[in-house]
Amino acid sequence: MENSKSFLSSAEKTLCRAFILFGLLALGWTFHKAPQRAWANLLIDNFYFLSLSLSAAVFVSALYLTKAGWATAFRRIPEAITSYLPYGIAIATVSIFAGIKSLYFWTTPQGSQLPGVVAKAIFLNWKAFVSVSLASFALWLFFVRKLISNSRLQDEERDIARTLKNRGVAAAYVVTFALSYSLIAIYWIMSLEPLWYSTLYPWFVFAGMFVNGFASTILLLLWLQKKNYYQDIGAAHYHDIGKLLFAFSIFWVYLWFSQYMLIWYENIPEEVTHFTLRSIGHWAYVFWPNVIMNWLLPFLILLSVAGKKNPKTLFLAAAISAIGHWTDLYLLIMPPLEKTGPVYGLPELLIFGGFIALFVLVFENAFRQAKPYPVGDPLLKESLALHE
Amino acid sequence: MPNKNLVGIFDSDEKMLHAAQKAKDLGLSASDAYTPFPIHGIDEILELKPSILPKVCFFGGATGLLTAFTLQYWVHAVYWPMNIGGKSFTAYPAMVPICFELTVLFAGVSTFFAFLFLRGMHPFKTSPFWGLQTENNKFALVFDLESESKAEKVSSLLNQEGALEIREIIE
Repeated sequence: MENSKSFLSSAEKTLCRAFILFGLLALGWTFHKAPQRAWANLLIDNFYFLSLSLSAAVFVSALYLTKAGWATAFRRIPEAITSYLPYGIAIATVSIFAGIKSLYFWTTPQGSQLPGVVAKAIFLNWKAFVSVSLASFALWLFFVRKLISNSRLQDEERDIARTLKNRGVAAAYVVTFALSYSLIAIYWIMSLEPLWYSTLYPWFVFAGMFVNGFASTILLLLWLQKKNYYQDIGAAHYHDIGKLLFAFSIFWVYLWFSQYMLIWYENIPEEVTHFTLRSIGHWAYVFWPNVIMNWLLPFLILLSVAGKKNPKTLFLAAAISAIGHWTDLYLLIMPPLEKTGPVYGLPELLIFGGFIALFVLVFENAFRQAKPYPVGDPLLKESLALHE
Repeated sequence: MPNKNLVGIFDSDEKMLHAAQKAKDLGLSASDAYTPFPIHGIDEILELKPSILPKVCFFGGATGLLTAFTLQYWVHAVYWPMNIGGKSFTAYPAMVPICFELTVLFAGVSTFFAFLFLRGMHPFKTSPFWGLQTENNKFALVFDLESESKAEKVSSLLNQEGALEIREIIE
């Protein structure tokens, strides 16, 4: 159970730092050549990992709220994922203050004169944008820190009191998160198209990011098992977390289709713009593969019990989902800025690679600070004895 | 042919699981269990074969999907093409909700009836294992009796393991 040494070799750490450096260079080059593309990439990648850390906290909260024991053995993985939160918030704060004018058309003098923007001015103004963002940051940090510190303190205290406290924290976090994340999804992403709106939108963004939470937890779990951690976690645990990945990828496509079909059927000019931009012309080459990656492939792979229990197929489905949800965000954020077609190249790859490397280093550091098993949790025994 | 069973009734799932494991170790394998809720691990101890219900469910769902698609395609594109909102006669997104619903309906109904069929159940039949309170708070472990010598071993084991009651039930 001793866990102070790193699971990354020094060569792997150097590789991560090299990737961060390449990412920074690519970001700098893009800022020099096309600042808007650089801000968009920063928004996509940072939102991806920020949402990942928030989703991991939602997953941990859900385990507390449902009194679930099956995942307690590897709960330290989603807990360590949340450690990206302060970094995500720092990067987001910089991007909001410095990048708002280049990303959001409604903040420019011409954009703010549009009748559709004037009508929504009480909501769609930069003061509200900034204050909602900062308030959400503060609330997220407060609740997530409380959740994680309670869990870690329990290792020493071995007292059920921390579990009971965390049930309260989890309930408060889930409600706060639902409200604040909805507003963030509307402000940061939906307002890229200020005249278009959909009531389903925040929910849809959340569904995608929550699937990614499960996919990334699976990927990290399988990776840590390769590094000799969690040798007592097996098919029963794979089966359970595989079911969640399977179920929420269906939930994602359910919301995707609910939004798409209504707008396609009504065919009202001001609503249909969102989809004509993405499904007609060059963006269609991203639009349809997006659905295949995020739903069809994981659905077919995970449909049978064997698909969920086998670590190879589970890895495949999780990896496809994780890449798929980057594509999903790319498709939500890029098209209004690049109307003619997808811009994709080295900058996108290198900046995302840099973010992955940063996330891995942050995750490794947080994972090292706590024991790999929550040894004080009363549900740990049940979790380790899990069978079909 | 009537089949004699010895049934041990327990008041907790842990006691029942323990008794089933002990019986397996002694070579007196239990044949079935009736419990108020699914108990993890019991199917491995009883060595039950995996059910074919998932396959029935899958093929039921696939039949539903195919039915819904052919029905709509035939009506809207072949038999009675109608212009609705200027959409194409084969406007696939509009077909998806019906396809989804019929997939769920066929999968659900076929699984339900396949379950009844596989368990030999129908509305006019009363199971001999009915009335043991296993739908409430009791857990029943069933032993198929081949010989009288097995009956004695089983009943002494059940007594040791703290069964509340031992019953003989003829199937």
